[in-house]
Parts: sequence; structure tokens; C-alpha cells
Amino acid sequence: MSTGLRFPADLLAELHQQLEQAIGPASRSNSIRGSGWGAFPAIDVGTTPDTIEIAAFAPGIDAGAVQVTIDKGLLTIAGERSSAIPRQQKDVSVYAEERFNGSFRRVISLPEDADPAKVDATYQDGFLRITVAKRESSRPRRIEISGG
Amino acid sequence: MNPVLRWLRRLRPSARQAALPADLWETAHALIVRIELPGVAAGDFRVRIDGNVLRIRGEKRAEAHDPARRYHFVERAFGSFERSIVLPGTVQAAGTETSCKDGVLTVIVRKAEPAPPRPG
Repeated sequence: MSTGLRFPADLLAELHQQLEQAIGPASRSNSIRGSGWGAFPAIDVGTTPDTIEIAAFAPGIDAGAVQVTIDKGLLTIAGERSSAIPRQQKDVSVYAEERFNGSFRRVISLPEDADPAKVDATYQDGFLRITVAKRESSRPRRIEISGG
Repeated sequence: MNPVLRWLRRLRPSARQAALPADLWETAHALIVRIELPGVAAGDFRVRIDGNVLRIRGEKRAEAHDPARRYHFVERAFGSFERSIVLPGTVQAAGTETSCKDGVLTVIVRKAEPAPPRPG
């Protein structure tokens, strides 16, 4: 097969780009709990000085069918998503079914200063956002020194 | 193209397409596509039909950047996306219905002619 002349640098650059695309997503997460690339739902975990924020893309779920629980420092997002395809109907032929269906569970380990009593969760347009407050006592504060 | 590159290209279809899983099925009168667009605002995507190809393109915008926020891990993808889906058979673009619910876009495309009766 003739592919014409190519400069090696050009070839290497393209090879690098292809490799990046092939293995990129897998190498993106560097945490043992973040190794769920391709898992449903996709989640981001971030922290601010006052909160721990979990953002998940969980489209097509009834908000009532998602359970968010915290137990012993582990936050769990669990639920079930059923297939949208009406297979029981007559004359239905399926060409592609790439969307995840079945039960799902993601577990996130919360830092020690998370306050399980102060959790707020909202679900809108397929976007689940969970905010866990940090304990008051763990925030930096100034200690007044009283004179004797 | 170099055979090694061609092989590598086959490993993953495209990072941009993989993030948009879709279901496609056919009923007696229509083709129905359901595609996941979580976090995409109603005005941030476009649906087009060219012949029998359905094209969905748009932009998934990230939330406002908070400099005080530190990310521990990131699985969600943002940025522009595009996906083309070849629809089986011939379709008529007129009368296409789109609706969005809970971050899932449903597109209903009418078939150009009713399916021929099944033999037997």
C-alpha cells in the first residue's frame, strides 16, 4: 500500500493524537474512586472552602427514583433507569440501543469534615447536583484570647 | 493512512460522539431517536435532517468557574458536540417533532412511505 512520503515528525504527532484519543479518558482520572470512566452516571467531585460538591449527569431519570444516601462517610447515588424503547409494541424494530439501562450505583468517599446532616440535592434536566456542607468546627476560625 | 494509525482510530469512534449515547428505533410510521443531552440548554443545540441523516450539534456549557473550587475528579465532558445518525430508509423532514425532558432529547421523524405489508 502506498501512502506517499511523510515526515516522521508528522507521523509521530498523529500517532500521539490517536493514542491520546484511544486511552485519554481512561487516564484522565487519577483517583481510585474516580476510575469509573464510562460508568453511569458520570460524576465530578469538587470542594470549596465550605462545601463538597458532587455533580452528576443522569439524564432520563425520574427524580423520585434516585436515592442519595450517606453512611459512614460514603455517599451513594443509586437508582434504576429502564429502557425507553417500547419493545412490547407491535411493529417496533430497534436499530441502536447505546443508552445505559438497568440499576446503577456510584459511591463517593467523603472527606472527614463532611457534615452528613447538611446535604442538599437537586435534579433538573438530567443534572443531579449534591452539596454537602463541611462541619462548622472544621472551618478555620480565629480564637479570641482572654486576659487573666 | 498508516495501518497502525488506522487501527488506532478504530479503537474509539470519536471522543465527541461517545459522550452522546443514543437509542434508535422504528415504529409503523416513524423513526424515533433518543439522545442524551444532560446539562444542555434548550437554545444550545440544533437538529437538522439532510436526506436520511439526522444531525445534532451544539454546545455543552460548563458551569461558571469558581476559583475557590478544587476538582478531585472529573468524568463529565463539556464543549461542542456533534453527532450524525444515518436513519434507515427514506424519511420526510417535514413534520419532525423534537422534545426534551430530563436531559434526553427525543426526535420523531416521519417515514416517507408506510412500511410494505409483511409477507405471510
